[in-house]
Amino acid sequence: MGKKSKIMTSLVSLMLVLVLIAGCSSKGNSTATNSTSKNEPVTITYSAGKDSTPATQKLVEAFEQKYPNIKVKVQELPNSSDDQHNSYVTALSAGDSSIDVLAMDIIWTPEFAAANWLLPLDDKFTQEMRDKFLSGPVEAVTYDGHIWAVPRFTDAGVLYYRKDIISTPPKTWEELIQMAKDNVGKGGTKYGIVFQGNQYEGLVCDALEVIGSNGGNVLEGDKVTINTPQAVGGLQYLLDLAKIAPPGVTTYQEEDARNVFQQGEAIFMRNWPYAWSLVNGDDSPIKDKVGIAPIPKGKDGQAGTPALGGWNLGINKYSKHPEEAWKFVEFVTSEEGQKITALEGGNLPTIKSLYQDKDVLAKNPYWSDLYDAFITAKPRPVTPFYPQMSDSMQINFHKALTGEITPQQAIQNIEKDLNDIIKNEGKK
Amino acid sequence: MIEKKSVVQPKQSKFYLNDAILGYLLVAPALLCIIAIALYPVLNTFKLSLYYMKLQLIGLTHFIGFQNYISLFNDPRFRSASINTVIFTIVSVSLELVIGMIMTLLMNKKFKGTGLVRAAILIPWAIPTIVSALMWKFIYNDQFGLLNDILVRMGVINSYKAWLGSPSLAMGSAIFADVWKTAPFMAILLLAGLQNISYEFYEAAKVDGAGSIRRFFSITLPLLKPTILVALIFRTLDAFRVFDLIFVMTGGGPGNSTETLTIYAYKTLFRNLDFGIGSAIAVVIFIFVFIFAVIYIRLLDKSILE
Repeated sequence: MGKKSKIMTSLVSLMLVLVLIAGCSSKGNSTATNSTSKNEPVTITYSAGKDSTPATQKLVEAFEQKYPNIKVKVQELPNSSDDQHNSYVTALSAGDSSIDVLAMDIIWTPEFAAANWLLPLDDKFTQEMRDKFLSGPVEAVTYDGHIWAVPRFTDAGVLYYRKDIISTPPKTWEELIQMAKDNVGKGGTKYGIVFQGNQYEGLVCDALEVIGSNGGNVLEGDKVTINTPQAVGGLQYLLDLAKIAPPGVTTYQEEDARNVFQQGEAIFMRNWPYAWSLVNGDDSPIKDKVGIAPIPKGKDGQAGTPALGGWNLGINKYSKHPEEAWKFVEFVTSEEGQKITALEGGNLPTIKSLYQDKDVLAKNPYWSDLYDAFITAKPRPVTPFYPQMSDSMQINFHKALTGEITPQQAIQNIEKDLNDIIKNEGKK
Repeated sequence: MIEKKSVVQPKQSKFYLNDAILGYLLVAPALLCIIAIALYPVLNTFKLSLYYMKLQLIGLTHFIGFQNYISLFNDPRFRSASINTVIFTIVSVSLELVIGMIMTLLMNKKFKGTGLVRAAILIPWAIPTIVSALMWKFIYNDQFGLLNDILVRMGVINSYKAWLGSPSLAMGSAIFADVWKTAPFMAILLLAGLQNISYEFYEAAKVDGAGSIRRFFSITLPLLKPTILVALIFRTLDAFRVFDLIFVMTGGGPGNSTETLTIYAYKTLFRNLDFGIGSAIAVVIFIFVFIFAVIYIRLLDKSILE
């Protein structure tokens, strides 16, 4: 009996393997047949980080009502923007067409554009439309002479202060530090300020704010211009702020800072506008005791320069429904769409006229006061190699903040790294 | 006798399949799977490590030989990541071995409530790393962290410390969290080995008048050597590739003082989209791990032969 059954067994196992292999390879073709007949509704996929507000839901409902032939499927990604970045990198570098519209952090647009993952939108997001938008966010979606995305909402660093302790907010960093020293202990406070001091992207925002507000600059065109006394002096402010902050500020991200501030332990907080509704929430111990002000300036600077944050909508280059995808992008970033985002999500519009809109201001009264500060917000360097630059800044700013190196050394290290990165860009 | 044996042997036919070929055919499915999911990625990573390849400049991708490796060896960040990885591996694995051994000896004792003690010791190992990393992050918190509270109450420190926020404390804190989680794993493996040691050795030693310390060093330790080596292989390779724990607790900070090779590889690949250099780092990790494995397996062979 031996040999025949042996042969049979081996043949069967070989067949099984072949079936497995064949099964794997044929998978790709079956989904390709996709009829786009005009009458049938088209479904597009909108991918974005998890939205804890009802804004996304409301936007999709309003859009589907307006365009009954287009259905929008929302694909939720994790909250952390690093995780979102990585899932886009995995999907888009493989030419995945399952995402049509993607929400991008302001700093990714040049990177994704250079990697050839986005549809250029020059003729869709026209000059006429762009003129209605704030200039900072438009600058951030422009790379290599083309438009790659449409700004959906913007963000800019602001200074929160306890108005029950401080009557007028500080205009300069020196004033802030003095006020903190004079008043700490009042109203149950233990610390002067909280900010984002962890080694991550948020630290770059905070550090570039103090550097910019002292007249420093990172890049001018392709030239690295960070090594100036103004930049070193600016970074020194961050170290001075750390001295009046909790010891663990070197581990804080936005929410850690907000928690300490909301518990009433700090007089000042540098954060983004999202925190406003939370620190004034019904369960907040400091409800109605909080004021909001522009970022102060340094002694060598002209004005406080808040870091520009925000999110853009782009279209996947491999999308099978680019026209429908554009309709969605156009709607979400239109005045109508941005008003929904502002009212339901509390996000700052990128269209200038909405800062005079009655409904929007009724819900967010402080926006009109901060408008002047917002329009001066500076984008971080607009380059596809921003992640590398950010990496160097995160490490060196954090080393300075934890006392391992001096601000002067940190600035010199960053200058060297940035020059290397720019030099390698052109390497053939 | 000899003639009789040859009669039993099957006759040659064209369908004859000898055992070796059959063996290969039977392992073929498994082998194909391994090639597809293990060997191919390794080889492809090695190939990528010889290219200049940045996704932002995908058009400029070209072969550059060992250039990526040369720039790595001149890169101070790579050097400090390697040193951090080695420190993390050596310190955490040695502590785990010592603590795991103590736990094993405890678990091996027969007393009331042995089951309870064993379960309690094993709990940290049952918690997923991501969860225990987050848990330790809270324990180390500078405002409401448990560790600060306990140490201040005991009078060990005067004021709350930022355990993960200062370069001098962060690595130690991460190692402590790792030891807490994986010492039980070491203990399970050692326990299995310990229970294989015949009780007669101990009785004979007792009769000869050997004390408990002497019994541990002359019987337990030598007979446990193969098990210890297996446990060390597992833990060294794991510790060398540590990622999730550090990623969650510090992300490589403060001031990059806890950045390990895997974190550096991850940032280079997925954040900077530099697939050439990133792959080169991954290959270096692979080579290191491979060398460790070979050394351990050699030692293991020797100790079994003894």
